[in-house]
Amino acid sequence: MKKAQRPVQGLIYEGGRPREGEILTRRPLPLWDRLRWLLLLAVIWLLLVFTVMGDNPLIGFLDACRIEARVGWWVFVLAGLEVVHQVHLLICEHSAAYNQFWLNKVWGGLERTNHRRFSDWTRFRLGRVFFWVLLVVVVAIVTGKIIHSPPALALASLPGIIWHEIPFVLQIAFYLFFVVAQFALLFWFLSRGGVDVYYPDDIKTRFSDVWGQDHVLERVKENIIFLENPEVVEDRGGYVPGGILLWGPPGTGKTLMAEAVAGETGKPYVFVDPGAFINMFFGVGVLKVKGLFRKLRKLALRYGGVIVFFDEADSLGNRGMVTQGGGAPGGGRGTATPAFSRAGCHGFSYLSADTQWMLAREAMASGLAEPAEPEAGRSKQIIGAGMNGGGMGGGMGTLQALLAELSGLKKPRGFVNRVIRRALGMRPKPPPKYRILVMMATNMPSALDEALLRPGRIDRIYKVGYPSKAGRIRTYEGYFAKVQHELTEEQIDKLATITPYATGATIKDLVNEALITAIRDGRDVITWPDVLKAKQLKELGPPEDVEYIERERHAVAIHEACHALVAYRTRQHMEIDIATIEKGSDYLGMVASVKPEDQFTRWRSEYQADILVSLASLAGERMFFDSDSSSGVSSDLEQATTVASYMEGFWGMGTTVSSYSSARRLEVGSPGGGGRPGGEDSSMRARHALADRIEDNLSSLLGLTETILRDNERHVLALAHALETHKTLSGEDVTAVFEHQRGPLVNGAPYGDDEFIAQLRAYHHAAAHAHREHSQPQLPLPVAAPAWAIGGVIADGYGSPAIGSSNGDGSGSGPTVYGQPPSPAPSPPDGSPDGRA
Amino acid sequence: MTNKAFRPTRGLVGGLVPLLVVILSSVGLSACGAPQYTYVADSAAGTYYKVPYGWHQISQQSLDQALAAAGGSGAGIWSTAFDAESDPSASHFLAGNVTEPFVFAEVGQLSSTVSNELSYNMLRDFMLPVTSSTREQEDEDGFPLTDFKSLRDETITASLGVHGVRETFQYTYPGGISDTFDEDVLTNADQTIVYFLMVHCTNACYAQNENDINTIMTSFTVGSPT
Repeated sequence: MKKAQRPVQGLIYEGGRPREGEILTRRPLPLWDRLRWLLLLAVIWLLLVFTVMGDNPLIGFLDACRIEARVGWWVFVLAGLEVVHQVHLLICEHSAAYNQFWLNKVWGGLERTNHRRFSDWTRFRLGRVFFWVLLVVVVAIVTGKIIHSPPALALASLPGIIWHEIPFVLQIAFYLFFVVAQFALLFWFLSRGGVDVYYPDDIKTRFSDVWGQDHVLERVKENIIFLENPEVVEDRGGYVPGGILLWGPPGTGKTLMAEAVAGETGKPYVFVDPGAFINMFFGVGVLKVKGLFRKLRKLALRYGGVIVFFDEADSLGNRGMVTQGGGAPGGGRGTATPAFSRAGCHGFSYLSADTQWMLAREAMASGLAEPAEPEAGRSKQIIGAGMNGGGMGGGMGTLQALLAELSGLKKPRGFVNRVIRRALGMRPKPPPKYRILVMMATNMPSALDEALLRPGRIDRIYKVGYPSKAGRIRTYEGYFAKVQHELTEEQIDKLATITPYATGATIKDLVNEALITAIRDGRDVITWPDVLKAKQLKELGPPEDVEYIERERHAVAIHEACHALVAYRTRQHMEIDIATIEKGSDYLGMVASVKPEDQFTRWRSEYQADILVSLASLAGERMFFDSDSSSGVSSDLEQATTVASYMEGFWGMGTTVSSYSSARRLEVGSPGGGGRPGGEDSSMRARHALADRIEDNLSSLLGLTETILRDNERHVLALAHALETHKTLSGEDVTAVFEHQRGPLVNGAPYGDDEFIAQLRAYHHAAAHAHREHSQPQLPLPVAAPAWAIGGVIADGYGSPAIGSSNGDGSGSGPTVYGQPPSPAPSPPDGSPDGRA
Repeated sequence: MTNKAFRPTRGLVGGLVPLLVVILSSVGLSACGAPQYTYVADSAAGTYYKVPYGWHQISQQSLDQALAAAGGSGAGIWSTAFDAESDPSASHFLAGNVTEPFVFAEVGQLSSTVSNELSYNMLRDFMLPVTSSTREQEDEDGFPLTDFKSLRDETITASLGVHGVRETFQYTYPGGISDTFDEDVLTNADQTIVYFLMVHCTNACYAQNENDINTIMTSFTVGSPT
């Protein structure tokens, strides 16, 4: 037969096993396989003959054979059956029709009937019964031979024999105990624990208990359909996804979601402890994995499905970089390298495969990631954390065992199935389809082994991220529904707005803290100020209770007021959340802003506003303290410089377009560098050029900041006064000061009065003078008039008439008694009067 | 095209298998016939003998009755009997005119008195009077058999201290029919157990079956083959 039409290099492989479906006859058996059972029976029979000869010294071999031929007839019966069996196989090997008849009609028919009549669980139990019956029969025959009595009688006398032999057995067991049992017990005990099984009624959690993650929940619900009714997919030629990875920041409800899945389906829920596979001895982890999956298979048969949940799956570890491989770009499946993590609006999908690969390789080789956005600090911990994490837990083959169990060979299981059926020439039954839904949760997906995440093991990867605003509102509503509160829908909406990265866990904590705050004040009902106080406590920690000296307090207040003012005037994309001059562990004061809505793109104007806010402290200190400035601006300048650098060199938000990142890596120089590509000079010039552009940009923005501050000098003094008076202000209070309105804590009306502003100015001059002289300010901190005094209206504490009357020029109705005269100020001697005290 | 990969390798095992099959088949075929002898054993006492396969074993109940009728007691004694007659009967035990050999064997415990006094002559006279003094004594007591004629008087020494006698003799029954008795009477080294085997039938019968009877008598084994 001519095979090769074209010249072939190397040897041609002409063998190869045909596929099962192509072979109609049975595969020929080797001679040994044909005869081995007959030989075994012959050996058994000879043993019986020798036993007869041993029993009576007079009996010769031939007579023993003749005697045994009468007594041991069953050996000949078995041999006869085996001969018939072998003849059957021989025909199967030569006649396709005969073989197909047996395969499809007889065994196939039996199999079909079996499947139709019995469930997987019933067949499993029947298999066990058959196994035990067989065992008992064999034991009976063997015992009968030993004690020379019929098998049935031997079986009846077996308990007696065992009872009689117990002392001897115990003696042996006693010897063995110290040798073997201690190891066995040790391993047994070590392989226990870490796995908890919850049966359907144990779990009360439902999908309705999971708030704020509706988009993920919808996807997860789909898996319930598959678990309940796998035929939906399988009948159409697909397969049921068997694994889900939920990843995301801590506290976002991953565990709760897995629990809800178990609660909804009514299947057993097996919770695998993160520490379950940390083992002291080699092999214990493997034993645990095998034991776990044995249990899972059994539960799956018994209940028609089972859910196993690996919490903190990163504890399973990984096998290091080698197995992670480069892979094709975009193949990261949610745990991509940095190059893919912040791929803007398109990712790399619009590029050709070659380009994607090149960019990916370079990104990994250089270790350069696109810079994380400064304000998104709390969300940057997940992606691109490197691939060498984890690896601490598991180890010693545990992970490999887990991988093999998750998608190993679908091997036949059970003694009867593997041995008896094979001995009878029947194929072992394939294992039933175990419905095991594997769920894993982690906040470090990059620490997972790549092999664990491949389709077939973990088919679906869902990010359980920070809840959207709607999700947070739903979560707040859920937790507030459990306590008494006076919050309106608007306030809950506001709360969701000012807690942009809140998770289920932090929301629960915040509500609880608010409740504790209320209880501390002797109330049962949570009010809005309780919530704000709890939020401040949670975000800033307890204040250090350090009192600034007066002039320093004023300086810090001016510093923070400048930040807040510029933020208020320029940063439209964020709202001031809190402004404080209370000293914390690593700051003197702070102005924190939050995004009012979920926004996923960042713009040049926003970055520019961020720089203005950062530079406000330097500009303000120079302006208010006669060109003097403190080192407290260092971190502000660092932030401003960083953002400006990225704007100029990376984001195309400066005067040039090209990316400094690429220019540096490819040594092509930088616009304005003037040098030819390559060489130290060009690189230096490029850097100089870039630094100059950054400095120019910052300088012009500093000038702009000064202008803003100069135009708003009275507002800065007003907010500084409010900060000095109250130390910590919420965003609403800051707005109240600037807009001369009523805030939750501060009444901003007095700050609209020029006379009061004049007092503040005088106080500032006194403080600035004290700053220069390193002395005490000559003037005390002015005190704003109480709310009831403004406009002559007795307000209820939050009365709008007071706000309405303060029109900024102090000409509202009623006497304008703002503050106290500078000299006879009845301020407390400690110099920190509180207008509301 | 046949794929050689599917062919089993014909190695040492492959070569030995046909040979084994031939041997086992021949052994199997030869086992198809009936055994030559019936092998009798008292495993507890380690006593063995064999009789031709066609001879019939007397049921234990009949034998016990026959022993009781003869004045003996079956209690604590292992006993067997075979009859070559086509119509086997326990009554042939000590009966005259038995035309086919009758085999009787027993193993019994001796009392301490007998054990102390046991001699070869006592063994010779174990079942029937053989020594002259006993015969005279029995004659006086009216023993019915007469015309004693000794054909063989041998002492036997076997392993493990087993010893005894083999006696072959003839007696004439009152009807004038003469029987030949062949006896093996053995005792162990401690002389606490007596092992007894006897075959008897008419003289003509004995002469006719002498070979078989001799095989039976020599097969009588205590502990190990003699």
